[in-house]
Amino acid sequence: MGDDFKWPYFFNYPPYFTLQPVKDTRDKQIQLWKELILKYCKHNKIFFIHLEDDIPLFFNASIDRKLTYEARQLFVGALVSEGRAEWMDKAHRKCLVHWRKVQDWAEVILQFARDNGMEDGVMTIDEIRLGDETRGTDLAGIDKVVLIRALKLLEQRGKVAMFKGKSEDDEGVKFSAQL
Amino acid sequence: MRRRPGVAGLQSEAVLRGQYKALGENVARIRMDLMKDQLSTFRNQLEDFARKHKNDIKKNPVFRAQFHSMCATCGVDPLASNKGFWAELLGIGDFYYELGVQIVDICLATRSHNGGLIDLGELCSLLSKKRRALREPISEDDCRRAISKLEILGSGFEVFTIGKKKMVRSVPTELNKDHNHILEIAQARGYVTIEDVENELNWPSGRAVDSLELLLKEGLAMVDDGHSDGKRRYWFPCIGSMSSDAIDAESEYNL
Amino acid sequence: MDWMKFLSPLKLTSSARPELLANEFERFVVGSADLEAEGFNPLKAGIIVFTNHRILWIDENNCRGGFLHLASVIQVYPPKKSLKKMFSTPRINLQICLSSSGTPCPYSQAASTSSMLIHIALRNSTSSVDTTFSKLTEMLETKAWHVNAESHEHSRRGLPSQDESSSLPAVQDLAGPSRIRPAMAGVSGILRKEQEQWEETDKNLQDAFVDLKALMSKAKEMVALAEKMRAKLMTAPTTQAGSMDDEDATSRQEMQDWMLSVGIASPVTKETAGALYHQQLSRQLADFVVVPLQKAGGMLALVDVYCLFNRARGTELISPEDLLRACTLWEKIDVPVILRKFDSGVMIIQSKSQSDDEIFSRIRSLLTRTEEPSFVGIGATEVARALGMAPALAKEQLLAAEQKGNLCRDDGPDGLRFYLNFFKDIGGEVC
Repeated sequence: MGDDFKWPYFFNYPPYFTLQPVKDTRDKQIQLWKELILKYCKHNKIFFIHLEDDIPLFFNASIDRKLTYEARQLFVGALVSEGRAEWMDKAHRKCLVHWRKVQDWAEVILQFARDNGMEDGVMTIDEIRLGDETRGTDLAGIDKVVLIRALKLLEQRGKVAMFKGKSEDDEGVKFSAQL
Repeated sequence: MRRRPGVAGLQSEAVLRGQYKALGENVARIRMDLMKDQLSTFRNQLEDFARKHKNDIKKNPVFRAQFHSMCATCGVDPLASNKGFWAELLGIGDFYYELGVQIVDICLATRSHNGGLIDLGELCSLLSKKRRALREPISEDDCRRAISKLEILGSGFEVFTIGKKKMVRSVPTELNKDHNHILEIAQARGYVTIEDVENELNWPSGRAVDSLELLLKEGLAMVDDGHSDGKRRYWFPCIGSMSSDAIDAESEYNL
Repeated sequence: MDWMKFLSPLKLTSSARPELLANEFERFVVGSADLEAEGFNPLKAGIIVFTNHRILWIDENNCRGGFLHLASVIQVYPPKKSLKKMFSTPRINLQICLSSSGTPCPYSQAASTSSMLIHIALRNSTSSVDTTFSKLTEMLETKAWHVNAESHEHSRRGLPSQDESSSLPAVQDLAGPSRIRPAMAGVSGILRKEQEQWEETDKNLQDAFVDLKALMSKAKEMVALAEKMRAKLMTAPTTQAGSMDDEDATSRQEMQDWMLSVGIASPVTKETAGALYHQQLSRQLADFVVVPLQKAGGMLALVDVYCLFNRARGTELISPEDLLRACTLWEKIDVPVILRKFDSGVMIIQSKSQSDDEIFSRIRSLLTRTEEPSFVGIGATEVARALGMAPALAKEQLLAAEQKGNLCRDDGPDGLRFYLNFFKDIGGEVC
């Protein structure tokens, strides 16, 4: 978690924490919050947001304001409509934030594989997510669900072949000879 | 033409009238020539002045302000047209017309944040930042002049006073006295509650709410229901340095 | 923390009167006030003197005093009004900028420093707390201790401050009686003060002012002469045929041009076509706006044309008046653009080929796209997007259509939207 996250100007202006009644103003507000959510999640490598939690994104202690649940749902919902987030449950309490699109993750994986000479090589899911090789790269700490989706995309393009081992922990990919 | 005694009585009226007319035309022509001469002298004088002091005008806002106020007293407007001697020789036109363009830019850039109303001091400071490289300091007086020229273009540019502050409007919506009063009391803390308005201005509740609702609609105010005291606050981004903060934060905006 | 260590020491005379700095003067006095702050024992029962530079606290009985420079005040909070407060001592709260050693220092946005709140509790004061607050605010705004008309950079906090734009005094100004500049309130005072400053320090500008005065007296002569000439020419009798004498016409044209040169405004009359300059500019502009108009759906706000044209020009920019005159002249010449003014005062230029009716028919087709036109309605943003014009201008078009009775408005929670006025077709009243 980085402490050096630069909060945008509106985050310190109290009215932005209240859902605005005037449409034009509200539209602008939604736009600003959408961008902030993406930025914040990207900076902190957060994949899931639980709307009921008062994370620093929803709560600014220095001005003593926090977003209502309704507001959080509206802003996240706007991201979902745009395809940059996904509800994880029917009650819309938890969401997956695509601060990087799945297809872009696919490119990151591909680039990593190329940079590390992984042609014809094999890596397990866990190794990609938490192993030594990926430490310090974008891939470190990537969410499992997202990773698998990205790999599936690469599989469709013929860049990898996914396999399942004997147990859950043995899920992995084989990179093709031509990357 | 010299009148010889008795001539007037001998010549017919029509001839006389013709002669007078010709004289009139001559006089007119003489006056035109005189005007041309005077103009030429004036232009030379202005050229001399420009040669010596053009830089002073550009670099010194106080001298500039003095210059303007003296022009006004004489009945000339050095900024009326680019074609005037003033613009041509002193370059004073370009200075203000460009300032006008920059002011329009800044007002447009900050409009989504402040609804088309910005504090003159803040505008001036944003302008100074934008013009940093030029090393030509500008004063609020300069901004006011540039804006007063923009007024005739009809998009609502105007400088007006609210309380102790000068504000710049850049949208056609005009504010009435009620709105101005509200903005004035909002200057203390950047926001007001309905109570504040009612108490400080002695208004009945309906009047306060109506005015605030209109200010909300125009994008000049935003609501804040998050205070622990439960009272709704109406914030005004045009007060305080909200616009500057907003611009500072927008790295993609090319100031 | 000890108040006497926190405040700067105040020099007092033997009769406990404060020694004021050069050009400092007392504004008002509050008897019997305490200074309070968290972590301090209250400093009680002193006299507080507000000057145009400082806040002085004086303990007359013990002949000691301290002061705070107004430059270290970041903000003054207005006295809170509530029923509870009516029965307790009124307080004025100040936020003071602190240096790293925890003592007051001049407030500057550039250096990141801490701050603290101090409270002035007014006991037994003859003047009301509101008056005190407003006077204090006034002095903070005036910043008599340092005024600089050449302020370049300044930024302010998110919360509104009472400061106008100016920069802060140098540290040495705070230390004591040093070269303090004269206190003058208001812009004219600032100008005057600066003029004095310039006049005394810069000989060159002294000459400049002298030259300026000489120039202006000549300008005055020119104006007087021009007015005389104009009066004569404009009222000159026309020939019997009713049209202008050629010579007169030339003279009038010349006059227009000369007036322009001197900077005297002259109206574009029916007889004259204004200065030659504007006639030429008129055609130049007509050519210039063709492409921008196409890009903007056929309509452009005049102020936008001003910016576009001048930006393209780079130097020898035109004034707003030049632009307006030039566009006004379009009426007289055969160009495919016109200047229009909406009721709101907004002026636009528009392609002649694009008529209001044509725009309205496009709006109507947007409205009737779905099956239930009565439930759709349309707002300015949608029209702007569909027609490729600026939202503000789209709004003007919608308002104009409403004026004509073609559309009805609905000012609802989703903003201002417009609907087709069916009643018009039926022949009934406009809604």
